[in-house]
Amino acid sequence: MLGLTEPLSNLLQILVFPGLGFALTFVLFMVWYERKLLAKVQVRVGPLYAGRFEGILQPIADFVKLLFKEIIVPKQADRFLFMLAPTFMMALSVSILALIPLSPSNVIADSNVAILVIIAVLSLSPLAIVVAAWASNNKYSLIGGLRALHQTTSYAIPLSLSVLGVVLMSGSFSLMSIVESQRNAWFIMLQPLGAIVFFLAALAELERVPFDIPEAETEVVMGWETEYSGINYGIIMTAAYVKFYALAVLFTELFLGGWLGPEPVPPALWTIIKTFFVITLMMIPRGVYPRLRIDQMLRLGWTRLLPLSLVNIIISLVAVSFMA
Amino acid sequence: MSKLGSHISAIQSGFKHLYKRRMTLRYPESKLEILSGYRYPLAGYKGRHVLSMEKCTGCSICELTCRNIARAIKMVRVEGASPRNKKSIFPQIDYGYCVFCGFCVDACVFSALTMTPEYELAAYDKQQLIYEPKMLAASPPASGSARFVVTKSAAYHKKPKRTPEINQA
Repeated sequence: MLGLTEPLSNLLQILVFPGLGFALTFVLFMVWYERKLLAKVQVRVGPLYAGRFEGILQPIADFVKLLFKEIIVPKQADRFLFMLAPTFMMALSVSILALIPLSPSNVIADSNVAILVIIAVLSLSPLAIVVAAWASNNKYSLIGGLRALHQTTSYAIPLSLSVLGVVLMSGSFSLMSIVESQRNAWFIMLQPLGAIVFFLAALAELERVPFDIPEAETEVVMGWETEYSGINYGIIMTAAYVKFYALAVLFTELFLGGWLGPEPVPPALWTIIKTFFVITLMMIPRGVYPRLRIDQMLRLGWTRLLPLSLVNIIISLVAVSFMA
Repeated sequence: MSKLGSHISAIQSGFKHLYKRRMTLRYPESKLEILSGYRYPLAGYKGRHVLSMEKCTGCSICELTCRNIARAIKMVRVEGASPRNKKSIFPQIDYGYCVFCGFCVDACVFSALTMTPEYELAAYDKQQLIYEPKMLAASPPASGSARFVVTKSAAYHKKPKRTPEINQA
């Protein structure tokens, strides 16, 4: 590609287009977009002054502000783990990006077990959260961290089971071949149940409203992020948004046919357009819904989403055996 | 099933608000048009005073009226010939004291004192709040032109194209 040598073009892909640089730029845009969208939902105006167009540079201004703020480490905190946890979180979020292709030509790493690896990395994130919560040595942090542990571990199961239906239908764990096998029909049409379960489980995994129980500010200040300030907080937020972006792209590729679309638009742009749509759908509940209680959240996860994802697997098994 | 319907209507209401007009007034850039007619059909406004140096005779009735209310008005000498005002004294208003009751306007026999819609009188210094007769004589800046509109579906601030001059009685 581009006539460059293999390692150099690989490096470009990792650092610039499908990889880190693009993801971080997109995340900056997402932060602005979310604030603007929520403002629209709540009949407000939203960011307005930074930048020529409707405050589009607001996230950059916020980022610079966070850079200049002091990093406060609590006296009783475990300093090493406290400083390590944001980096750990960021590393986990970014490593998902490596396995998600944006188009057949924009691939960093295509693995035969890509989805398994992504799920494994996702299920590591509660560990990072618990480390952050424990190292803060603050009761709110600890409560929030344990809530996050409950939530992410119990929603990782429906999340991975809902992916399983897609895997059964396409017969592969590789995202490339999963997208290619949606040429006739997107998987959201074949298994709407799986798509709904994945969508809700992803919302819970991302700790977004209505599943923002771990960082419920009316109950536990800011959850496990309470003690973080300055750029540490910035890194945690960026990590959360990178994860959000990654899961949105994953939803696009599992259920919405990824880069498949009419010709003149390049395939990578199709992925981004669909991702944008998914992101909008995931943001709207934040303006509409109240927060669930922790028992409601667990009940939804274990008694609704888990059986639904099992039903989805059975349906797709039956469908696959009929097709075979 | 009704539960699902309520979820759908919740999401729908979220989307419905996306394209509604904002009712936010972007204050320093656009200002509200101030409508007259609270207490004074003649002047109509309850903001800063404006003094007509030609009409004022220096009778001091405004000062007398204010003495029982806010003690904001003080008569001061202004150099220069004024045919109606033999003593050449004019009211000076301290907006640190003024309560904008408008009794001085009521009391003014010659309609020399009137009130304007100017309400942005904040100052950095107490001294800056004391308006001398010359300052009172200056006409106020044009008022805002954004008008509050309520329709069936939304409420918003409408900005007319031409900014109308404020009417001074």
